[in-house]
Amino acid sequence: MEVTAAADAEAAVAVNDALPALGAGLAFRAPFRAGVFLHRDRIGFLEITADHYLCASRAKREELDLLAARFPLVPHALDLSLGSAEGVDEEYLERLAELIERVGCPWWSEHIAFTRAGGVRIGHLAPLPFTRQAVDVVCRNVETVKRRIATPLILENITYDVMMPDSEMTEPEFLDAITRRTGCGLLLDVTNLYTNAVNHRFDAVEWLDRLPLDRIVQLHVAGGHWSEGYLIDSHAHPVAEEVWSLLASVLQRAPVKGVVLERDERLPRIEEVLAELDRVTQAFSPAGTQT
Amino acid sequence: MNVGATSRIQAALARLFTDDSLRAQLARDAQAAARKMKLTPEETAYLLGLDPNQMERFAQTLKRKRKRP
Repeated sequence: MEVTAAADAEAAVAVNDALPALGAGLAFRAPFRAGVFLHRDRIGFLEITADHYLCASRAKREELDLLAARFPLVPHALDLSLGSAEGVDEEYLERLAELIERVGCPWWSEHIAFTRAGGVRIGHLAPLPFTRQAVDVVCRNVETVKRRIATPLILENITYDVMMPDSEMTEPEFLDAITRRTGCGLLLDVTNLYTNAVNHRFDAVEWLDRLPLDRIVQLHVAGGHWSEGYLIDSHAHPVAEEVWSLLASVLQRAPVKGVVLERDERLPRIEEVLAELDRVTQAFSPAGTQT
Repeated sequence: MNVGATSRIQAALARLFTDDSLRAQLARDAQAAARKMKLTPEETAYLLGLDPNQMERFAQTLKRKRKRP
């Protein structure tokens, strides 16, 4: 058993080592379109929301081809529902596979969460309990996905407002078990970690110490806001200083290939976004292991 | 808990996260809400282990995120 686990870990690290270093990337949003073409030299790559292109109009498909011709693209999926006990939606998976083949990306990402169950589409990411059975469900679904999509998949930690009962392990142990068994890399959302640490009162640095840092391929950073004493992961504001500090800590310790800045609400002018992205570039470059 | 039970609990959670009136019913009369969702006593007990305030906050977060373009 230990030999198998060690072999799994080595295989996962080997996969991650083979991935290209993309640097500082931006989560593409349509209002940024003119700006990203104008400032290509400041953007290492674009993360596209896969769901925006799955049933795309001709105009969206042309936009995708235009972006793919000028930037490395990394699709980020929202609704595969890897944590669904009833399995993944085959039609969604097929459309996702076609998109990933079309853009020719080095890797793609999805969340460790469920978004559908019993015929209900939740509309966003619902948390899983940190249990062995949830690990089994995610691993089984990832295997289904990997049979259809050969491009490396990396998996993201989410924010959770709801603490699920009956957890059998810590979140880092949960992420370790899933990435070890699936061979997938990790997309560590640093803002999600910070948000959970604040709202559920744990130490983010200690949490990081227990994480398999060698599995990290990509990072996310974004800014949230406070509401009634609770930190909301709204992607509506600049990145908090505490998140910049955590980002620097991760970059010093993990073989990160790319960092993506996300903004989804209260979209500012592109100059403001690029100023933040420049800070990501600066944080990224000194570590030495990423280039 | 087996996979079938987990599927039923996830289906119940999906309904609760997206249905204000069902959440209110769970708070008011858990057994009636459980019957409506065809849950076993064990599955009902699991749902009652959730913090209602956290569930409400998550439901409101979902409303906000579903509005994103």
